[in-house]
Amino acid sequence: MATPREAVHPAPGSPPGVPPAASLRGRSSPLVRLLIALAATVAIFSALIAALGVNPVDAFNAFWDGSVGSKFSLGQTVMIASLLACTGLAAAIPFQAHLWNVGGEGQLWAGAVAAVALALELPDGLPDWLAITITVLGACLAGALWGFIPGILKATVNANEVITCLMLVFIGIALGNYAISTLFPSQSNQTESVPFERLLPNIWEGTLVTAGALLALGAVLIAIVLMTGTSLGFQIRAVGLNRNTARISGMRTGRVIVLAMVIGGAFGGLAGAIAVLGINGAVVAGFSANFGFLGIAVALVARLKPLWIVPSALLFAALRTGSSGLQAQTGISATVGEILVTVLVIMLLAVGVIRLRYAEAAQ
Amino acid sequence: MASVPAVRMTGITKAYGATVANDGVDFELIPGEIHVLLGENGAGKTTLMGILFGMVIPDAGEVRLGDEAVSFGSPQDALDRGIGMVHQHFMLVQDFTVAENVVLGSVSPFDLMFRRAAIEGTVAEAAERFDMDIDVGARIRDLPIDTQQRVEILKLLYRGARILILDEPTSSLGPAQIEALFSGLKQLRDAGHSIVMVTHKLGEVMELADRVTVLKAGRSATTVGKGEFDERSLARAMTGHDLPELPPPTGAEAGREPLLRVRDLVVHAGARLHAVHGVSFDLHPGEILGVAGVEGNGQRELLDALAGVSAIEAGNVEVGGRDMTGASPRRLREAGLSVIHEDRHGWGLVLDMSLADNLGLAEVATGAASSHGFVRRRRLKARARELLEEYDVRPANPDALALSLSGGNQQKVVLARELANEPSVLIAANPASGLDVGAADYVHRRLLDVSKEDRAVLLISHDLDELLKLSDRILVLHRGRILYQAPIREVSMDVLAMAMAGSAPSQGNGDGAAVGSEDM
Amino acid sequence: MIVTDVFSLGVALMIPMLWAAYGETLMEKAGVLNVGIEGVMLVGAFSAALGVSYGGGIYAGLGFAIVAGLISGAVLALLYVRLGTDQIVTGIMFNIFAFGLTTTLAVEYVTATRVTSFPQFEIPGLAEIPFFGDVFFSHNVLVYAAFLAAPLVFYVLHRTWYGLYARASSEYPRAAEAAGLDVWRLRYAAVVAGCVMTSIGGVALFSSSGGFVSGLTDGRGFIALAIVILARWNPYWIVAASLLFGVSEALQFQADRLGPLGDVPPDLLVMIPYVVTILAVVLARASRYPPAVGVPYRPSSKAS
Repeated sequence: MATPREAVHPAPGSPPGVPPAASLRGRSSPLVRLLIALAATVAIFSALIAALGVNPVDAFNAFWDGSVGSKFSLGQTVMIASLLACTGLAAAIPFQAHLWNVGGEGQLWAGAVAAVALALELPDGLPDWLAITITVLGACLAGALWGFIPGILKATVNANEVITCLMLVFIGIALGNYAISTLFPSQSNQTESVPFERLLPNIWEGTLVTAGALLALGAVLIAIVLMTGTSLGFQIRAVGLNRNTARISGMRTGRVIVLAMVIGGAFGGLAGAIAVLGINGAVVAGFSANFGFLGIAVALVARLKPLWIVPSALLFAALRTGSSGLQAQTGISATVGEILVTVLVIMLLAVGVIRLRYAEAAQ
Repeated sequence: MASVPAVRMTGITKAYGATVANDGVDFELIPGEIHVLLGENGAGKTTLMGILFGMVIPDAGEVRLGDEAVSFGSPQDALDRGIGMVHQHFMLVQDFTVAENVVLGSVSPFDLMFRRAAIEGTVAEAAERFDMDIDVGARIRDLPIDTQQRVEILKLLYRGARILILDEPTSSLGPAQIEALFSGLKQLRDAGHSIVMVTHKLGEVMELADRVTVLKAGRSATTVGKGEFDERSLARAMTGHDLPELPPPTGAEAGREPLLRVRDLVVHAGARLHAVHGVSFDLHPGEILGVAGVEGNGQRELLDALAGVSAIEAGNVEVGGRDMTGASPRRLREAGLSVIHEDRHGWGLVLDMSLADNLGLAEVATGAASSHGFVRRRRLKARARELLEEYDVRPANPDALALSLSGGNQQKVVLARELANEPSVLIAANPASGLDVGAADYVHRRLLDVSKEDRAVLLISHDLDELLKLSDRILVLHRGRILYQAPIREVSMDVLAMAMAGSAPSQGNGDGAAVGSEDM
Repeated sequence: MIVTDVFSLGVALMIPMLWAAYGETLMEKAGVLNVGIEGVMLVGAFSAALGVSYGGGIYAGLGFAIVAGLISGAVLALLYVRLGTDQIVTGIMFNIFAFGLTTTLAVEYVTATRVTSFPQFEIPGLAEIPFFGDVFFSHNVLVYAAFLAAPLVFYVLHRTWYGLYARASSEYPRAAEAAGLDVWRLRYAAVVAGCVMTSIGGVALFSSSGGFVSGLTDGRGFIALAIVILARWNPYWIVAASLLFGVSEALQFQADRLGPLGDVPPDLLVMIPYVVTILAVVLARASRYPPAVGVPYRPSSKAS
């Protein structure tokens, strides 16, 4: 279908070669704007805490304790960061292709269900390392499937991927609940637990850090190599920045789109595997505190670059574990952490410190 | 008669980052004149008029209307004072009707009286009053380009504009429509309106202008009155130098195997305009075949179909003797077909990628630049450096982002990439649009080189001058059909102009079908 | 009769999505894509719960929700239009924010379940029609209002100057600007009005669910997004599409009476509306947003 080309023209008066003007926010430096965003976030959050009857100073102390205040809490932060790094990659890679993979949450759940199913059902005789490997790969595959569906629908019938991804999120969660209630039931609000030998081993004494953290690091490395070195990574970027030019240059844009979603989904599935094999030992009802959606924030703050996902994930993880600490010490529900995180991201978006760069052409 | 200038702009300065679009420009418009603002692409004409129309805020300078200093914050301010602008790319909502577009913005959003029939009646009345033959209930997307332009003008007159600014109004029109436009403008002038026409085409100035102001590199070079200028002096004022003439087209030797063969091509048959309804032609080695036509008669659809980007509904395409109907861009490229698309930013470049990446797009796509799936960056860069030097791109920095280059240099990058493919067929659509004279000349010479090397060029263009300068043969596309075909030496300008307006020549060239000239 | 019950329930269940879809239509027809629709709906439902908890009854809840809609609208308008942030990402973040906020505050401020809904009343005469009477004319005032809103939304979009101008802003904002319109102001109005309607959808949800729980909306806002695009922004088609989804949601509650469907475990039945949405989006192929939807607009005169 011919795109409505009349909708895309540079502002009159823009000299050729110069993009339409810089940000709306004037010319203040990024650092100043970052500080404004941080200050505003702290202010809003303090107000909220105070409204709930807690001294903001106490709250911040509790935050600190919960996130990095002890070796144990640091370990917790690392594990959550591992999850967020994977869901961050799940968003970042497709976003580079200008594909809105907002379904990381669903890919996470799909991977978790696959992980628990494989870990419980694989024959007993199998050596543990093999079982774990197959389980992890199976989880990635499940996530990849959850990414494949929106991807192929987008590539063939141009189905809006935001909608299809979001629907699959709820389907994934329903699947998870089904696994808990029917497929692998147990006495409590979770599936049957995975036998100890088939869990990822602990790698840091005194904490709950398991090899899941190493898996996440491996994922980041793979993503870095993919995006900077491979032909597919190049094509993903090209398709994202200008699909038309990519197409007319001979790139198979349909295939690239599907692959980008599949890869993103696989990372989401990996997060599910880490959650099951590396943190909870089972699929626990409601185990994901919007980790899939927060992966989008992680990706944005990292400017979609795999390398920066590591510090970004650690930051968001700290905010998460901090709010658990807050709950432990003051009794405020830990969901307040999600408020903090989203206010921070919205502030960063508002001041323009993070923004998505893409061609303004209607596609 | 000395009269108070209707508009006086003094010392106008506007910069976009490091680029200075207007540098202390002065401009004056007298009531009841047609004043041409002449300059190359990129000279700052559109910026200057954008300031007058309230779409651009100047950094410095003053604008006076009559005796009064004014400062426009938005187009609404300008419209309130009777100033209207017809942009080069029409500001019309394609899905709306003529009437809806004309009344857009004329009434407050809180006004409760909205009756479709009454609105259409008022607009139809206005059209009649200004002597324009327009169906006010028609959707814009169904109307030919020159009618759309009339709607734009009607819009301004309906809002009571006395000062009309037209930005490159002839860029997509054929000779007959240009004539109609000019006579319409003269009528408006005689009725007391003041008109500014922005253009880079010298020929038009001579026909139309009462006075001319030449802008060069953001500065007003000269303002001259009627009788004081001729083409040569204006050209020199615009560019500062004369350019050597291009060699005339030689005309290819016929009878050799065509490199590109198109038969009964049908694209987007459902539409009346914007479609191709059975086009056939051959492209022989060593020739440049020009496709002329008013914009919106199927050129874009033809281009997209041949580039492998649009579906071909019927007919076939052979490249180098092999059937390539419906082939993907990748296969077409492998078969030796390259495309310079008319939309440089939308289809030619990835603006946010480096020059090295842009130049290597095709090679990465085919895998030629990779080994085992990994991109060989050093090779890409080295290749890029070679190409940038060969095509004299400035800056010749492979890491520079494509968006940082000027239009001319960007087009050179596109050229470099497409020609590096060593195509046997090069399709070039409006390759020099928006480029300054020097860059345009470079592009034209490169196209000639391609044809000299026994390869072929299909040149699709709105610019008749360009086509006449370069083509060995010309064909005219109208409503998706070829209405006229002739080798360059046998072309009759009258017949050509008529074909562009829809009247097929009686000899029955090309398709032969006599089509009524409804859209004159 | 099963079919009557399913459809009657379907009509009751479709209303929240219907209101949200109206709201989203207003916004998209001015050029703004609000993925945060889920969050706005949730805040609306929460506000209704607040109003009820403070003893005001359901109409107080409605009032609270309208105010909440105004506030959400103002915040989102600031972000989407004035600051030009990426609409999809901002929307997603807003959803999580709303979820966190309502969950946290609900613990403190929303007193436990006292089932409060809008009073039900039948339309005399019409309610006696077999099948249609039970299905359409035996509901509460919010339901009737939702049906009456369809022609109103159509009127605003296609029979007013505002509607014409807003639609121009969603198709080709620069042309709107060149015609002298203030695209930002048009979009502010659309976002605020749209969020109010979406919030009312939240009230409807609260009313039909009998109480507020964390994450009450459960994807209905997103389904409304799909409804809008499936219905091509036509309010009458929106009613039809909402009914489709309402019925698909009703199926899980009536499953035990529907033969083989009763054998499917409830956790899987829950998936029906979401699967239906995906299928609908796939089958309704040529759905394409107007060119300027979702793209922040920078008026030329404000560009530096």
